[in-house]
Amino acid sequence: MPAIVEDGNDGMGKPNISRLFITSTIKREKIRTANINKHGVRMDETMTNIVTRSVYIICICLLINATGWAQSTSKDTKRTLSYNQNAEVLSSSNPSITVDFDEVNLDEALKKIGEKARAGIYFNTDLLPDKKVTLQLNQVPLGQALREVIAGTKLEVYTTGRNIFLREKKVESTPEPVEKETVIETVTGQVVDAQTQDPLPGVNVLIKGTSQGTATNPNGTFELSVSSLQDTLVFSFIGYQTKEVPLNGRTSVDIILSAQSIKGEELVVVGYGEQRRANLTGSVSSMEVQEVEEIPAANMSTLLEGRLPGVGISQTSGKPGAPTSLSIRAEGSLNNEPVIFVIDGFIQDKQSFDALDPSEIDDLSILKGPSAAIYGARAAGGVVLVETKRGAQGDVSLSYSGSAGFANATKVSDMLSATQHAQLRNDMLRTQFPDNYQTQPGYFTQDELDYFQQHNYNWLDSWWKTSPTLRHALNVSGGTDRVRYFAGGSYYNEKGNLPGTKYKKYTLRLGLDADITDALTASLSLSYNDGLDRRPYDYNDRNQAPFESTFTNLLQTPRWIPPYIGGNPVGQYQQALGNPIAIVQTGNNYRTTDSYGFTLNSALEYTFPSVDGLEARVTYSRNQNQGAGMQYSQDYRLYNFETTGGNNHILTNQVAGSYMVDNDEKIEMSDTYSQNYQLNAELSYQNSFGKHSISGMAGVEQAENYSFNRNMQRENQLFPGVVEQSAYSQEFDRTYSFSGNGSRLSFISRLNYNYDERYLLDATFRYDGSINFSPEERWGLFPSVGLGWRISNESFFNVSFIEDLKIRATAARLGNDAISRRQYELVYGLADPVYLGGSDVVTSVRADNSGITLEGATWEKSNSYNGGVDVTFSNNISLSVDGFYRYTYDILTTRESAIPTSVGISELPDENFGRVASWGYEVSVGYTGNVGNEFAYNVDVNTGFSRNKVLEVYQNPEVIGTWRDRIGTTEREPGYISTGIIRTQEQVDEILADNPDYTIFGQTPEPGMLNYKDVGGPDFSGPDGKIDGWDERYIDREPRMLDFNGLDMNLGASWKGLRVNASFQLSGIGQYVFYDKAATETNEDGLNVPAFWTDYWTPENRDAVYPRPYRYGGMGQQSTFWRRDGLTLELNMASASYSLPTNITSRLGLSQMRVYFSGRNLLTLINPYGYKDPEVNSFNSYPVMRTFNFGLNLEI
Amino acid sequence: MIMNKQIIYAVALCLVTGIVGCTDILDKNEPGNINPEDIWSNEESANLYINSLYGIRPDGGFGNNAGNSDESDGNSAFIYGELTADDVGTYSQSYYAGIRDINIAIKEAKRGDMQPEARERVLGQAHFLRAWEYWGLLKRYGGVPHIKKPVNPFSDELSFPREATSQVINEIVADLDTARSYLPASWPENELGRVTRGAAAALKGRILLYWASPQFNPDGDQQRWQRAYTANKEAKQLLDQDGYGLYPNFGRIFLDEGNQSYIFGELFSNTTGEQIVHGWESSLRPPAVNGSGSVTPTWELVKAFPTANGLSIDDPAATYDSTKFYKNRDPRFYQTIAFNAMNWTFSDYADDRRQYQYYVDGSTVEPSGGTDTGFYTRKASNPDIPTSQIGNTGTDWIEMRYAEVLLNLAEAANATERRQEAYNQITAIRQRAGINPGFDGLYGLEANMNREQMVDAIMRERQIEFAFENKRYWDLRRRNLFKEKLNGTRRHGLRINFTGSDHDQFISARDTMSLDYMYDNYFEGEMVSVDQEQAINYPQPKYNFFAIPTSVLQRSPEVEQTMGWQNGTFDPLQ
Repeated sequence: MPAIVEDGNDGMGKPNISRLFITSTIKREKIRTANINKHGVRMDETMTNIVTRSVYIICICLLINATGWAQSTSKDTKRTLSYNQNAEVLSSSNPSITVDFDEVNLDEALKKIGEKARAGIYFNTDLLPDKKVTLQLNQVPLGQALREVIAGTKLEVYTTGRNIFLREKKVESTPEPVEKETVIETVTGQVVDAQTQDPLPGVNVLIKGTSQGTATNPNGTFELSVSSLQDTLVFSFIGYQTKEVPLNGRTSVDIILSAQSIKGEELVVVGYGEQRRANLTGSVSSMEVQEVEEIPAANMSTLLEGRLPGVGISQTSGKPGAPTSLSIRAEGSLNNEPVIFVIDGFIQDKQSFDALDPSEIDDLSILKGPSAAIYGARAAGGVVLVETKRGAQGDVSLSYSGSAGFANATKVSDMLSATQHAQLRNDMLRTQFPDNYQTQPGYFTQDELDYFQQHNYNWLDSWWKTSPTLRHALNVSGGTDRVRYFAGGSYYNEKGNLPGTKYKKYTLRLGLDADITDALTASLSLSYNDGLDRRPYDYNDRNQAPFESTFTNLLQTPRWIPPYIGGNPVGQYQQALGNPIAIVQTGNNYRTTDSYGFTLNSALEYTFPSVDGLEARVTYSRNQNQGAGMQYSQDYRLYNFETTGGNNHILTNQVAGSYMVDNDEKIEMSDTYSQNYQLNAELSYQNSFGKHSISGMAGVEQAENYSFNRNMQRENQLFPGVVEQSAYSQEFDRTYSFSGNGSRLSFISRLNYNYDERYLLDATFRYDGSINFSPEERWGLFPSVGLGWRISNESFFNVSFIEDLKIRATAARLGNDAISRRQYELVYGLADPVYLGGSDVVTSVRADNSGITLEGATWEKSNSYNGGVDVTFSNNISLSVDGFYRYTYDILTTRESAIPTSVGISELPDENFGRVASWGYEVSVGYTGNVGNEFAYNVDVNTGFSRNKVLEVYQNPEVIGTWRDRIGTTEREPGYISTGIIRTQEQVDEILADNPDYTIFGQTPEPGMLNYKDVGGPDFSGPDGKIDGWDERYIDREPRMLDFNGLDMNLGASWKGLRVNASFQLSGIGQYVFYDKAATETNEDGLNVPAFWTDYWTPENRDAVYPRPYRYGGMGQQSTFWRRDGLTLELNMASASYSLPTNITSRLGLSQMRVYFSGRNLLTLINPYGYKDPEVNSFNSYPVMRTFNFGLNLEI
Repeated sequence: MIMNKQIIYAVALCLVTGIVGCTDILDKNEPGNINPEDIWSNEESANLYINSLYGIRPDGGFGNNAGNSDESDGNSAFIYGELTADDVGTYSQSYYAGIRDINIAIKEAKRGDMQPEARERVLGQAHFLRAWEYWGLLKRYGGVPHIKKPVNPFSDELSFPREATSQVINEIVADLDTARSYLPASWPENELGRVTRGAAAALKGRILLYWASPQFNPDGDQQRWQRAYTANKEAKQLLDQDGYGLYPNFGRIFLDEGNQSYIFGELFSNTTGEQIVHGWESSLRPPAVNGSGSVTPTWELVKAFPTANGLSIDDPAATYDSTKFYKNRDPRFYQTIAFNAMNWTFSDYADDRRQYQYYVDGSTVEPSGGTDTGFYTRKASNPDIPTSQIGNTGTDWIEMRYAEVLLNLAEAANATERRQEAYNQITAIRQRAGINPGFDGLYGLEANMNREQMVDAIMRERQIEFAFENKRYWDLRRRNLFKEKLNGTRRHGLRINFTGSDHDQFISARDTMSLDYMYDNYFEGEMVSVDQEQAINYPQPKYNFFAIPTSVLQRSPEVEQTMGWQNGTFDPLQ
């Protein structure tokens, strides 16, 4: 609960808040700056690197210069500031203020106090009397200072969360003696925020046309006496739209207030600092994590889907705990450009980010393009910045959120029934052996086909279950003026859809901030996460993602085979595939993984009392991740059965034999361990001088990491059932380990300047050293500069319908060092062991990089540009448009394909050679509106476009100038141009009459086959009279500037305590998709195929939609035949929640209680494929999950 | 205030030391890296590098190319003459990467500070393996770029045209001569897989035999035969001196690791912690015992085995009963061919288990398919491998064994008119096989054969002795036997049909019947063609040298295509 600092309820006033004015320099209260730390002092190291030292000196010089300049500016304005060196330093949560005002305008005085306190002070200029302040304060607490300054006005001080408001003193509903003969009625109600449903305390409630009124209490409720139930109440609150509500006879009203567009005022984390959104010059997206908190998901990335412009999230599998990919803007390199994740200032990996529970996150923002430049050598892929929750001064507040739900496949492909499948097999045989197909062993006789009508076994259905999910999250926070704390924990559990599967996740976070002295604050936080995963082990999955082959087997095993007969698992089909159901049934084939991690963040922050605005900060963060994995697998027995039926395809219940299936019988235990630390030392400065505001920081960051994994395996179990290595024979003992390390060192600085909230400048520098390159090539400088102009703050700007307008531009150089390490020196590494006789294998080593070294390799570099416009219209529409262009050069590419085969290069060091350009734009539009007093709604739309183009790359000399030439192209889809199905013998004859040697992938044309256009011949020559690999061309749509990446739309509406949200995603506009290869192949291995394979070509069905199933030309080749328009519309997420009225919650002793429903991947409204979910790669891939959840949210 | 100042100093000190102190954090080594000096300073560590070279050997394998010859059935592009330029992809980046690794070893070992003898043992292995790798290319394509150093693509000239076949032969022979002079006669037991001087001499003999064969020598240059004879003679002498010889137990040649007949090969193990295995046992075992039974002998191979007296089954003097083809045959027959109703058992089956693969009313009695030819092979089968492990066979692959040197010598001796010497080699093999020597001591061989007859006899002996050892296809190719003997013919199987009236009754009694009784009363053989769609048509001499894959030509414009193939200009006979 927000704490009310001051509660002067006396005085009268007319609350008519029409327009907000915000102080020029806002920074979060110090209690909220989290990334601060403790020691980090390494005194024993020697001073070695001259470069390092000189850079440090440069940093210091910059800082000194900036300070000097700032002071001289202050002289210009003739405002002399006095410092009391001997003053006792006060609490930083309520920092002490020293000012000396002499006939200063009231608003100036307030601004100055705000700057000094580094706090945002919101007030309405209309309410400020034209008053000059003359005052001298010496180390006076902020609250008192403000009260001194506003003494004699109608204002009072009010704080909520991190913001400080000045508002009109509230009207007390004084029980004055009733003079008229009126009936006094009592009206009650609660006021909540439209977006969050949080109760709003301190809202002014006034009877229209009078000065009578009250304010809501900390629970957001109010009680007011009115003279008539026909009165109208006026609800007003700073930062919110004023609302008038006629009582119309009611004695109870619940009100939702919508936030006014104060979008620009929110603080956004930008990397080594925070900025007000209004003053950003780059492209930074942020999201309210709260919005997705109610949607349970195994990893955090999943929850960002469709929420942030320019951020691509894709989850192609719904396996429990399966990772989700996250990318930011278009690929700008030929290499991987990993996104980096910065959690409380600590650069970590995606795994750490995914391990977070949304209830731990306070702020999340994404740095795109040049905005990421402050992360220098690793910035090219973009940055995800997270600030976790911290405690705030105030009473203990506790919130709980819990939900239970279930997950099931969005779509499992319909497959052929046993009879249909058998018929398809027969038709394939008919094509293969036209003369004697009926005597083939694989031929199904009529009695068998009839039998299968009644005996159709769906393996998947019999084992696939809806997976229950469960989530609990509990947060406690609070604090005194000296010590603030936060504690939170969460639990997530997903059962999985296949038996024997489990996924669990725990998180725990503890944070403490303490003001040791008034200038020195220490922060410490510890977090723990733990993910537990258990799944059955199928040997067939060993080289694939878990479950991939298991799922394929369950889906595609012919349905005339029962999984079990008389309790015995059937092994009749393909022996290599085994029987996944039997694996689960045995119970002793499984794999478990337990990955857990600790993170420590510690910080010491010192505010220099002698230099106004100067702070020093040392932070030390450390992360340790460990994983314990085990595989316990055993061979299992399958049974053969006697057969009957016309051609022995029907299994009887008589066992004919049994055999063991190899399932990698062993016990394997693996440990992984990684640790990394990051040590930062920073100086920051912030001050303003008249209309000049300046802030900056300079610092150094060093980090090191170390990791290893260890693996132990044994075979031949001596004591069945004992799951210990020692219960296995020592004969088959195998252990190995790998380890790795890394380090980096960086010098960082950032400078922000703005003049009168109109002209904005933002510059950053980073000087990075990477261990990946030779000492000569190791260091790189990555600067950025951004400019912004807030036109709406100009005096000449007078457009009534635009409230805020800003144009901005940024340019930066970004780096990418994600290449293999140490190409500059020759090293040898371990290779596969070999066996040369005797009782053991022997070690072997090989030279890395084919024994070749390259000294000169260095960073990939990008020149990245971004321009944008942000507009807020007075009708509550906000619009943000960004355009970007990135030119990446020195891309590390290998020349391998341009080197003669006989040189025998298996891996070649990468050279700085390639060049790629990428560009695009992003648009986001938001609207909040309301109908009447109680219904509010919002619409947010994100869309964009992005492309890239290869400018230079090494390629095979032969392809240069041909359609395969990659220069000047975007990544595209190659395939064949289909001319359709050859339907009749006459068509075949015609083709052969034209060209007797015509073949389609080596086959002479036959009816039922697909035919293609002959467009090329050997060595990129012209048509050669046959269809083969040379006839490929690009068959996707030529990229155009207007092609959208997709469109995400988030809709929300609220009415009284009820709120609904939905998010839609429209994609593939103007693009093609292709049926996946597996679906277009009717394999001779006899696996089942999707149900669309019923309308295929046979001599009797010449007008079929699909070709003949047996070896039609180029089967499994991508071609225009399998191409569809890609338009896809999905309802990704929907939720509905209801906040119980206060009279109920207060009876329960709660400040808030909410019930909700949420769902993910709910509907595919337009599906270009039909037979499969658009998100999965192939119809036989593990499906994506649709989830439904019901939850409860409580706050005390 | 004093305290304040202290804090300022402390913070300042933190900053300065924190920053400058740790720049050397960027100078650290990856924990798993090994420096070159660590490898090439002594024999033990240098051999760790050489070990990896033993992992790159291709070209080995039970049953390889069986379907491309008359040993087994199989619809292959080879046998029907349907190869495209890209079908023989041995000439590849990864193959030359193996050669590069060898060249790195030769270069670095010469520079390292090892003792001379140690250096020779290391270098000898590398030279042998380089010869072996180039031989793999040469026998397929003829001359190829012969590169002897690790080329640096950033600083060296990058044009490597094909070299003349004769030139590459000389390079290979030079490498083998170096290896022979550097390598020891034998290695300790736990290093059996390393190559010896005997292996170098034997491989040289094989290569020079090919070089003299019609594939490379269509004009029959006698000097090449003489050179082949000398090399094989020397090889045999050296091998005898170093303790090599024929292994008495034909059925266990591949199973008894380290026996005297092993010259060169690849060792496998299913019993070490790290399994180094292949799947031969699964390929040969029939479906009834959960194998895939994919390598099945043709009726032609079955017929090629002589009788126990060493006579051809077509020989009127032979005691051969075509209805009971299994009777009275060369003992090697029973170690190579698995036929219907024979007793064939494995460690986890009953001792009297019988293998049935006959047909009843047109359907096989075998589960899930069964043999196409009516036979399975038993070559190198190890009955002690349990069924669950048949996919992880640890049986050693012997690329070259002593018997081959004898037959190589026989062939070269015959071509240089040393016929008696040729006889001697074959009879040695037949003696070991357990064939009845006969009153003339010729073990069934025809007396006084002329040169051509002797060639036939040697090729027949190789066919049966080395069945499924990846020799037959290459013999047919090097001696132009596809063209001379096989083209236009079809391969066959012998389907055994059940002729009785009551099969159920037969099932209940069959395990107790004698083989002869069954074959007399219940079985009848039916010859079936396994080349159903077309006859054998192996284009010779065109396929004696394959096409260079187009991907190679694209990256290496200086490499010419082989003559006979599209746009081919390179003459492999030069």
